[in-house]
Amino acid sequence: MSGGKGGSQTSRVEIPAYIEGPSRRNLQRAEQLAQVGYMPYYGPSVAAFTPMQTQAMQSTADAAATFGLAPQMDVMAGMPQAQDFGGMQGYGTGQMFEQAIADLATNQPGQAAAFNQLFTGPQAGGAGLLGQVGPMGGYAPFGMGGALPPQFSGGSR
Amino acid sequence: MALPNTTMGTDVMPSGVAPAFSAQQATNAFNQQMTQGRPNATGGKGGGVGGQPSVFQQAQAGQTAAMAGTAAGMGYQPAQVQAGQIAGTDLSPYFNPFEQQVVQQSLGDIEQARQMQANQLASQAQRAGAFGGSRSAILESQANEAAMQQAARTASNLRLGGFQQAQQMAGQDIGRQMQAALANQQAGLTGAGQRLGAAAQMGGLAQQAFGMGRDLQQDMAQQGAIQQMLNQQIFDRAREQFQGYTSFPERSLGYMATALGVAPTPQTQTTSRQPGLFDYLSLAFGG
Repeated sequence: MSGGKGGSQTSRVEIPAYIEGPSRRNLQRAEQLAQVGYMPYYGPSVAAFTPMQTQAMQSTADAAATFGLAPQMDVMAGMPQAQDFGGMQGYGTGQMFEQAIADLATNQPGQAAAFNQLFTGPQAGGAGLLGQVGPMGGYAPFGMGGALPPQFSGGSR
Repeated sequence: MALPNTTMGTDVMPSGVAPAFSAQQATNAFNQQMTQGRPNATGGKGGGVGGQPSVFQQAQAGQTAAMAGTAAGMGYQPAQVQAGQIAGTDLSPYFNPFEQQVVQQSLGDIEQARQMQANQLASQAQRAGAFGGSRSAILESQANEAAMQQAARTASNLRLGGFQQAQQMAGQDIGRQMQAALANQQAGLTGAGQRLGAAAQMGGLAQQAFGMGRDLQQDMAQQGAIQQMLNQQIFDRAREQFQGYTSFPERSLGYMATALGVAPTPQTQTTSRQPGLFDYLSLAFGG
């Protein structure tokens, strides 16, 4: 653009609305999702020993004891108590994860708080952004009744 | 399973021989371990299920009994056999207890015969009017001498016969005793061999039981591992599904980005011009 006594000339490039709108919303959604934070897994991770395995190990220990190679022992002593997951015995790391987060907050409260404030979740001390929206775990696709929070609802939408 | 009590026999372990284990001890040790009825694994001890001895307890008890039986066999000494002798053998039990009575009866018969002969000689001498004469005395003396000789021969023959018969019977008894001792010795050796064989068989059975138990243990462990692997696969699939859930927003953003990337993006360029002072002057002077 130029101006002055000789006048001015302006050039303007316009993106069609059907491209610009989705692009903006996608960026907004990306920013929104970035604040969700890490989603821990509380389900089973490792399958526990089956009764057949436990019995086999106990039998081996008993045999060793019978022949004087070892004292009588419970082979499951020292092993963590398996949890029941729908009839299957296994171990999950959710509790250990929570414990680690709690330990971090105890030992490094400032750092933990600064980190947690960046994201949504129980550790952030408030309801998550996505907790205010649709029923699908906080994510409602556009066009399916999903509504953006006010801070993301402006713009060219 | 309990073994019957066994007896070693009087000739199996001679006095002074003390083996480390006896067959009876081996049997007792086996039965004791079999009837201890150790609790099963849930009770924290190494017994079989349901109070029954486990196959490893049977193997261990069998091995112990086999070792004890073998040790007893190693310490076994057969009974000693010594040959008997007539010399030094008391023959009195072999004599006819009525021998003296027979001898006395025979001597009595000889004496009676001598008296009858003496009476007959006296009667003959009396009829001849020579009774009390020297001839009669000579005849009586000769008859007495013959009777005494007959008595001595009879007694010695009877006693010699009794001695020889006693000696023969004692010799036969010594032979029979020798035969019985040898038979007992052979029976002891046979029994010892039989017990050694039984100990070896028990050792083999113990080894077989141990191997069987090990095989079953490995089968159980293998089957249990298969079960655990199946559970682990289910857990893994569940976790993958959860991860799919948590990563879906990211994927949805990708859908949009992809769609926007491939869509043509026509751009409309609009140029507008604001005329300036010179534009107007040029226009006014026809420039």
